[in-house]
Amino acid sequence: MSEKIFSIIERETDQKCTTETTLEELGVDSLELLDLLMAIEQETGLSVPDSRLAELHTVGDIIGIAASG
Amino acid sequence: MITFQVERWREFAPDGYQIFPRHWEDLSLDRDKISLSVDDPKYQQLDDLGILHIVTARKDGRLIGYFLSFLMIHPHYKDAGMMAVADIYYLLPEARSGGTGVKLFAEVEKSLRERGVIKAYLSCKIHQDHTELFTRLGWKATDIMFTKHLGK
Repeated sequence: MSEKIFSIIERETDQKCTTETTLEELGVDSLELLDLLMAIEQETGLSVPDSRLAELHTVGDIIGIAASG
Repeated sequence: MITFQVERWREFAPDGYQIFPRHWEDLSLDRDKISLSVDDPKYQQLDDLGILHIVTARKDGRLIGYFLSFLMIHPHYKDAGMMAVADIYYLLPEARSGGTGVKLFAEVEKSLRERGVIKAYLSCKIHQDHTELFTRLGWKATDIMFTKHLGK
């Protein structure tokens, strides 16, 4: 599933990324981050709860929190 | 790393004062009529009374944004629970990538819930309209705020 999330992030941001890539490095703004999370939810069924948004620093965080949610 | 946390006025204010002028210049509409003059004792008093709620965003410890709310039981709805009214919020323009704004708002909501707030109010400037973002975060546009300068 993490590979699927990687591919969604790379497609949505048009960038190669690793688990260490930060959201700042991806250059997404607030609306783009919401778009990205929505795409992940729609395509994988995994979501990041609003209460954990502040914990998202890296691509790895998105994968980890989505997978645990 | 960017962190989000609830702070008290005493720890927030020294760093906040570094950003307030920029915030004011960026957003204030009546700078020629109303100057920036933060009432530090008043904020401290509100904090001591438990009325002030401050959430900050810090990057490696450096303040990059904040959201201040006033908490109160509304006199018209004394049985409804605590309500929060936004005082000021700001994120440095250079700190807005990475979804920092969304995360700050998420932390504000989370911390307000933890303090027992059941309804929150905020507004945004017409010239810096955040309607789409707020709507996506689950906020509902309910009022239009009008202002009129009545002083000299």
